[in-house]
Amino acid sequence: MDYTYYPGCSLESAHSSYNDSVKKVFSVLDCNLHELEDWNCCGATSYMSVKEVVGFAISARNLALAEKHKRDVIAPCSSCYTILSKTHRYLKELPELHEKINECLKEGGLSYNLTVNVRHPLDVLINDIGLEKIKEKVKHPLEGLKIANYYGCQIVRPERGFDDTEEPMTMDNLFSAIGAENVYYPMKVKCCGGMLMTTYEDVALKLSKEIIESAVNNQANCIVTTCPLCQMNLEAYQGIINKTYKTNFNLPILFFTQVLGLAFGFSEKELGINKNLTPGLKLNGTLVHQ
Amino acid sequence: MYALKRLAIEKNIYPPHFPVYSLSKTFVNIMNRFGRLHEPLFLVAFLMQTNPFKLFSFMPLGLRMAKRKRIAYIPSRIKNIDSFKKIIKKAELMEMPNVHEEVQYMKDTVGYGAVDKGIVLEPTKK
Repeated sequence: MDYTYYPGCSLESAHSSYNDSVKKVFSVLDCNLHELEDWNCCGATSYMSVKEVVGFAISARNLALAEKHKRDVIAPCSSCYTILSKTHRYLKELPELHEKINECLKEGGLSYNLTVNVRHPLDVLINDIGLEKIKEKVKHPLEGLKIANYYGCQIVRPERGFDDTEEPMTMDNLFSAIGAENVYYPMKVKCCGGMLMTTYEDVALKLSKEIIESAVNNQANCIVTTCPLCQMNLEAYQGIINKTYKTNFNLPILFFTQVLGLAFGFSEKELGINKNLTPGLKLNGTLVHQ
Repeated sequence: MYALKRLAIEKNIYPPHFPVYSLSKTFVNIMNRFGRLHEPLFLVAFLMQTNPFKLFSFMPLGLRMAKRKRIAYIPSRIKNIDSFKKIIKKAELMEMPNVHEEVQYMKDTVGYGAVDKGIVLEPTKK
């Protein structure tokens, strides 16, 4: 199977471990990811919240570039996935906007004819590849590992995509199929604070603290996420949360592809777990201090 | 929500030193320049505008990330930046026009006080 791959800005640097682990996992499953040539930033929520038409136009540039290859686009970053999907949906539902955006794209020698499917890797793993094939490739089942599956607020909302908006289950189904135990985790779609960590830190610290606390209280060995910004907030700010709230959290925050990669037999280094700021994790649930 | 945010920005209805608008503006400036976001530059530029002293508190985190090779020192730029800028320039022209209208305030023109009075307010165009 072939897909066009849109890594996004975050996976180029601060979260290169997510990039590496996505590529490793898909290579095992005989999927070819072709990186979209000359992709630009999707604009994230920051651009669209200030200049709407420009936000749609720059996001649509990526879709126009991808359309030439006639493949589904995989976007692992939650924000990129949301913005690219939203752009496609809005242009499809609003012909006037579509016309406007195509006029803008024309200036750059491009046009978008609404044929691109934007997919999240989790959706592709479950719905295209399937749990049976994934189970066949597992070398080290995740027995003994207790996971808090944290989806964040972007990949399943605002409208239902490949999973339920309030009680998503794709990650839960994936990890239980390969031997892990999913702990009760009512915070799975609660917001971590996102960019508020930069502007109103106290608000975001409280939100992130609640997410970590719930995982710890439910005896999880780690939080597993799909979103680079959530990973950063929960991981990099654990020390500040401990200081602010007199807690003692030391919980690994991993990308779902890192955990899946461990089950496929890749080393911690190959999956970029050694780049994490919180301790890494071995398959039996023990922490690896770096 | 975004419509409200854009409206608030357009009408200058936000508190002094409001950091959220500065954050979005900084993001837009970097993206327009490189076509991609460079996270370290984004953070430094934002804090220089809003709270330069906070840069010091980010240093320990920056060092930990640098040690784990999670910081790109040079911004990544798209190849076809000229075409990208042309798209932005055209799209800027298509943003909603900023027409500032100020409605005259008259007593009893809202709520139950206004029912059946047939009051028509004329906006003052600026």
